[in-house]
Amino acid sequence: MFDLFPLILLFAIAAGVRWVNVPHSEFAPTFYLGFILLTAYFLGRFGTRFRLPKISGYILAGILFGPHLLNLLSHAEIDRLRLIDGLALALIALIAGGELKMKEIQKQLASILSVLVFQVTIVFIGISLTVLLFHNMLPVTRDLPLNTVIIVAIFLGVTAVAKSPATTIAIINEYRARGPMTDLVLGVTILKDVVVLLIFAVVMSVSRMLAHPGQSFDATFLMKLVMEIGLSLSIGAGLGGLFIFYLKRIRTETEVFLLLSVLLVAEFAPLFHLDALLLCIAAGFVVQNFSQQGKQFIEAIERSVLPVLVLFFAIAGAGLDLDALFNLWEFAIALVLLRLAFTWIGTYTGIRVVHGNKAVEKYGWTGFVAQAGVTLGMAILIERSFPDWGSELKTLIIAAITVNQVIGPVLFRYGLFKARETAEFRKYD
Amino acid sequence: MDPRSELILILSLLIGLGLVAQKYSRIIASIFGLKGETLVGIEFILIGVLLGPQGFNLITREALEGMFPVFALGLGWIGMTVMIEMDLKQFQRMPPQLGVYSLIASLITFGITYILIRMILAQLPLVSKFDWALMLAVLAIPAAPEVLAAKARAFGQRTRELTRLVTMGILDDFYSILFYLLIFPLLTSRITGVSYHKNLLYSFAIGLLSALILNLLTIPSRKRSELQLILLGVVFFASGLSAMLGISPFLTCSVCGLLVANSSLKRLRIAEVLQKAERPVFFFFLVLAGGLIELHMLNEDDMLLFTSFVAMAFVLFRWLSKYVGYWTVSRIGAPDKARRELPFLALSGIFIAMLVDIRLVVHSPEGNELLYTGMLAFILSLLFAHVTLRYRVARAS
Repeated sequence: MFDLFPLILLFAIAAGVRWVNVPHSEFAPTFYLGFILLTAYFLGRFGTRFRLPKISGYILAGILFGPHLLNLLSHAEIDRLRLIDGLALALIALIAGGELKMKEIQKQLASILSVLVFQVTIVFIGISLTVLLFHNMLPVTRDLPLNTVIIVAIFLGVTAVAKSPATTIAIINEYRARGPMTDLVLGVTILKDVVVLLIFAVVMSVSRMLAHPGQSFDATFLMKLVMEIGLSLSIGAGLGGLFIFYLKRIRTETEVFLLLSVLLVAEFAPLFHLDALLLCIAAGFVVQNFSQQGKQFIEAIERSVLPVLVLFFAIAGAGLDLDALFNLWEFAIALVLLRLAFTWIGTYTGIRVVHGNKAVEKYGWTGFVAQAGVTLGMAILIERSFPDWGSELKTLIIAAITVNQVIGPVLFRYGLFKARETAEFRKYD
Repeated sequence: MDPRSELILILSLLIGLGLVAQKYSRIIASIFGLKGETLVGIEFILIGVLLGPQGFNLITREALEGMFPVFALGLGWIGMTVMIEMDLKQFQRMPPQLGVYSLIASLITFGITYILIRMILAQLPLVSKFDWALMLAVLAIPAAPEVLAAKARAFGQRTRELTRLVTMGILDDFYSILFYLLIFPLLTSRITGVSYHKNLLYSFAIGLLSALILNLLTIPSRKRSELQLILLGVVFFASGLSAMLGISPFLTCSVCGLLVANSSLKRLRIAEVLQKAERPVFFFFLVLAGGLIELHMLNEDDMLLFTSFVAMAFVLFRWLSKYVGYWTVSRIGAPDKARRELPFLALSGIFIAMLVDIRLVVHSPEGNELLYTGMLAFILSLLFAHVTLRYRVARAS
């Protein structure tokens, strides 16, 4: 009740500001940051009454106030607020790296590798073949020649493999989940992030070959990517060393120092063609596994991460393209269902092969549903590389991302509770 | 590299180095023969000037303009942090005359500075829409109790006299914000076109709404991270809304802070969270404030001479008027010699916040000139205060 009245008040003011012409609109992002931060956070809390993860509440708040529904946040404002994206992703990656404990990973290594191989293979081949078989029914592929249909099928396959590491890590963090399923999902998520980038690079080169038959396989793109990954991991390890030094020797204003470092990484990694996500994962991993400061490190980040997380997911929600979903909803839902089925088969097979944990076998797939930035980035690259049909394919992929990003956190929460890996089960046990 | 990236790089490096320097400040200070000295911001302003468009141009003008929303947030945060301390119940515990005497002394300071600056400016060929004398008179009131407290700590002193002096300094800050609240809308109304009453009304209304939202959201018990999020949200909201309407974010958030200080049961926890982030916010803010100064404009029409002259006159008149104020109070009925030490206190962080606040609302060259004059006065007053305070603190022991 105490939360409801201020939220209504905030909403009324924001609606008033939207309708009235304000003289200094350059300050609008400051105002909207405050509005979205408060409303999304409390909607997230409100959602927990209906057994929704808080992240779903933040995303739904973004959808609600975004340009497709209440239009309190226009496209221009969302673009201006996106400044927070890089910082949030890098912070989440730092937490992910910090949560990766070598001992736990070693115990699960066989399962992680097995699930990774089976899931990637089954989802990629399964989706690609299905699209190829039913290409006459899909509006994107209906009038395309066979070689282009193959390219589209491959692209849909690779984008289906990709998932949102940010959402997975945020859910694990929200429920303070620990256990075999959490370790497996975390390990596979991080490795998959690298594998997907590599597959995408290969697929891009193959597709160019198929689209322009005279062209030979372009290995430089792949080589560059491998170098970028290697460099990101090495620099990340160095950054981890710097964090250890700071936490051991300097110790003042740890949160400020970590936030600034992450801000720098998020801002400058793309300029040097480095992967900020991998860089931060490596840094977090080094601090956790090669020093005594792991706990202190994670606590310092967690103390300041909440506002960034809320804004990140709310803005991501506001940026979801509902128009694309309304236009292609039947195909998007079909794609999502297929992906769910193949993900389940991949995870189940991967665990069965190595005789892994039963709970993971049953519920592990729930951790691989959410999709966001990585997939969206791929869709944009496809559109740029193949302008003739790329735009239509991008719309379909975005429609599927919208569904996956909404159902992903809910499913993963369900999986974690069923596997009894959330903090409340640890308390009772 | 785009301007935003440049700015992030420079500020991050500066703050990073600042954190390391802070850790080893005692060692660094002792190398230069200083014992526990604190400069309270000059260094950051100078860094800002050096790196800004007028120095090495590492912080470009475009980047600074892109950071205006951050300024608004910084101003709001500072205003709220200062006013959250102003719990009227705490004042009631002080000797009852203390508040009245401080008010009288502040009025005298205001009046004398106003008359003297007006007399000086009348001799200069200045055509301005902006009432410099009135603004500088308000800016003369705040003191820097933190400088005195730091100095006392450095010398290991905790006498009753010094404690009273620090309290008086806090009261001066409080009155300066009240005066600012009443006078700032009057001064800016001629430039921004927003009428005095509307300006004042908006400031109170947004402050009141923000305080209401903050109080309601903090009624249930909240974790520290949640409280941090709520505060950030409220300050973003209040400062953004007021800046959008062309009124001062500093004033709005000060009103909010004052109301929360006197109505919220969670006042202490809110203050704790605000203060935790105060140092980095202020650090960041001062560097950006230094970058805002456009020195090249001072070449035009002997502006450099004019602003430097006004700055020196201001420091001198402030010292004189404060001394007369507290001398008068001590004659009326407070035979406390400690009060006479107050004029020696430097200008405070609130003073800088007010300057930047004016600069944000007044986009004309006059805003820049006032900013430059104020910064120079701030530096002069701090340097002067260091010498005199060292002597006074030693004597008070």
